[in-house]
Amino acid sequence: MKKTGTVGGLVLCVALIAAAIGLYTLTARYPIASRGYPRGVLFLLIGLSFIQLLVELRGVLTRREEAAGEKEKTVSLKQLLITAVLCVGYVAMMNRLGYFVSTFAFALLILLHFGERRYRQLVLLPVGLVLFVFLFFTLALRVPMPRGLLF
Amino acid sequence: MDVSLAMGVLVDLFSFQTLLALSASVVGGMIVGALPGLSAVMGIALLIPFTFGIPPATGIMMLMAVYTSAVYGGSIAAILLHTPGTPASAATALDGYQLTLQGKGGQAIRVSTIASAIGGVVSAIALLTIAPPLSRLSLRFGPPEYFLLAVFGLTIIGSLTSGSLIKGLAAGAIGLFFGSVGVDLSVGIPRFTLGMYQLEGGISLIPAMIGLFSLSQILSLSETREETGVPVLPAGSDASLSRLLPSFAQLKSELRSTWVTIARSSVIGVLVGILPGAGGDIGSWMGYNEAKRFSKHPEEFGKGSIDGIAGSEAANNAVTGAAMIPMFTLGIPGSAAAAVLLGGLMIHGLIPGRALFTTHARITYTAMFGLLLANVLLGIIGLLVAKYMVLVTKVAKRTVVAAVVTLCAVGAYAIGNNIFDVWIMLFFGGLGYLFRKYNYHPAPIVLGMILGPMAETRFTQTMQLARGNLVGYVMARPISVVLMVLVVLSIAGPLLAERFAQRRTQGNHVTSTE
Repeated sequence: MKKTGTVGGLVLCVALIAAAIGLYTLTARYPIASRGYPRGVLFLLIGLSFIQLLVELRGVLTRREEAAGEKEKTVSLKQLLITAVLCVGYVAMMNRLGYFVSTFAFALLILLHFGERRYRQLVLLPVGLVLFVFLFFTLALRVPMPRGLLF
Repeated sequence: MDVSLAMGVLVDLFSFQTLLALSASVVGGMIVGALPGLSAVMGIALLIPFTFGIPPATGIMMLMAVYTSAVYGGSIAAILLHTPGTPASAATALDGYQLTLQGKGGQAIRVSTIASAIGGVVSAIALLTIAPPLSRLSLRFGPPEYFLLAVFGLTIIGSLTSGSLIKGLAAGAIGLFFGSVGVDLSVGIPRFTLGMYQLEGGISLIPAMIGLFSLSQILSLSETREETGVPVLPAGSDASLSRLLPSFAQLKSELRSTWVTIARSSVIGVLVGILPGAGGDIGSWMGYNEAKRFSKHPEEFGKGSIDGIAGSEAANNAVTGAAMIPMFTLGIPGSAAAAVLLGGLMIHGLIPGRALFTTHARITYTAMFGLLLANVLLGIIGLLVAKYMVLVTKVAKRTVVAAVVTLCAVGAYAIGNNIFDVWIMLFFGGLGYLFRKYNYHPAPIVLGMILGPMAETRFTQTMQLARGNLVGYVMARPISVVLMVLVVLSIAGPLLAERFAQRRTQGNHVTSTE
C-alpha cells in the first residue's frame, strides 16, 4: 500500500506554516523595497505547505493501521538521538578541546555507540582520521584547525 | 577552440598532479557509489572543500570525476549484492544479480564497466560539443530571462526530484527563503539574521550543502537497525570475478553483442541529462526499457540479460556529462548532483554562462576534457579494481558514520576557517534529515539557495525596466515567453502525468475486478 500521509508529515507541514507565518511577520520591520521578495517566497511556502497539509491529512485519515508498525522494526530513534547528541557535542567541544582531541573523542564514542568493542579498531580509526585531517588540511592545505586546551 | 587554448588545456590536463587527482577521484567516487546508503551527490558535497585549495580546473574536474564514477560504482553493489549503490543503478540490479547467481557476475561487471565508460565518454563529447555554442544563447538573456530561468530551474528540479510536485516546490521555496538571509544589498538592511553578524553575508552555501546531502544521509543511516556491511556474495561468484580484464576476443564478442544497446542508451542518457532535473535514475530506467523493447529476447530481461545491464549503465553514465550542459551554459542543473556541482563551480568564482567559455575557457575546457579522461580511466580502473570494491560494501556502518561526520565537520570548517559554518552544517544536516524522512528532496533547497539571490536581483531589475508595464514588457521578449511556457509545462506536466497514471490504474482495477 502506498502511504500518502503520515502524522510526522502532518506535523512538518504545520511547523513549516508556523515558521513561515512567523518569518512573514518579521518582514514588517524591513523597508518596503526589501520585504517584497521574501514575503512573496514565504507566501508561496505557506500556500504549498497548506496544500500538502491537506494531502497529508487525507492520507492519515484513510491510512490503515498496519503500515505504522513496519517501519518501527528497522528504525531506532534512540540510536539516532545518541548520534545527533554526539554530533552536537563534537562541534560544541571543538573550540574547547581543539579539533584533533574532539575528533578523536567523537570517533571513539561513535564506534562504542555502534557496538565496536575491539581495542585495535577503537584506536586505529580515530587515530587514522585525525592523522588524515592533519596531513591533508593542516600540512597540505594549511587550514588552521581550531586549537583547544591541549593542542 | 584556438591552438594556444588547446595547448594550455593539454598541459593542465596531463600534468602529474592532475592525473593523480583524477585517478584518486575516480577510485573515491567508485567507493562512494559502491557503498549502499551513500550517494554521488553526497560524495560531491563532501569533496568540494577538498578542492578549495587546488586550481579550479583540477577541482571541478575532480568533482565531475566523482560524479561519473559514483554512478558507475553503484552498479557493482547492484550486480553482486542486489543492493543498488545509487538510485541510478536500480535497473542494473534486476539483471545483474541474476547473472551473479548464474556465476556470471564477472561478465556482468565487465559489461557494466565498458557500458558506463562508453556512456560517460559520449556524454563528455556531448558536453564539449553542445555547451560552447549553447552558451552563446545566454548573451541574449536580460534580467527577465534570468529571473524566469531561475524559476524554471526550480520548478523543473522541484517537480522531478521529490516525486511530489508540491513537496518539490515547497523545498524550492524553502531554499529561496534561505537565499534571502543576509544583508539586502539594494538597501543595506540585514534580513532574517536573528542578530547573528555571521549571517549578514548570507548562509554559507557549502556548509549548508554538506549538511543537507552528507550529514542528513548519515543521520538516516544511523537510525537503521541493520548493519550496512557484511553482505555476502552468492556462492560461486568469486570465481567469475577473479578475471575481470577481458581478452581481446572476449572484448570483441561482448562489444559486438551489446554495442547497439550501448549506443542507443548513450544517446538516451544524453537527451535525458540535458533535460533539467531528470537525472541518472530516470535515464537508466529509460535505457533499460528501450533495450528491452528493441531486444530480440525481451523474455530474458529480469532473468539475467547482458543487454539490460548495458542499457541501464550506458544511459546513467551518459546522463552525467549531459546534465552539466544546462548547468555550464545557463546555470540550470540537469540533476541533483549537477546542482551541487553548481555550488562547487561558484565557490571557485565561476559563474555559468558565456564567460565560462571565453574568460575562463582554459579552466572550463580542462574540466570538460578531464571528464572525458575520467570516463576512460573509469573503464580501466573499473576493470582492475571492481572486484575489490565488494570489500568496500563490507565496511561497517559505525566506520562510515564516524568518518563521514568528521569529514563533514572539517569540510564545513575549512571553507571559511570558522566554527559557525560547522554549526550551519549541523543545522542543515538536521533539517535535511527531517525533509528526507518525509520525502522532501534536498536538491531544490540547494538550488533555491543558489538561484534565490539571482532571482531577486533580476526580478527587481525587471520591475525597474518594465516601468509599471510588467506584462507588456515581458511578453514582448520571445525568450521570456518561451521560458514562461516551459515553467507552466514543468508544473503542469507532472500533474497531468500523475492524473493519467491514476486513471490508468483505476482502469486496470476495474478491468481486473470485472
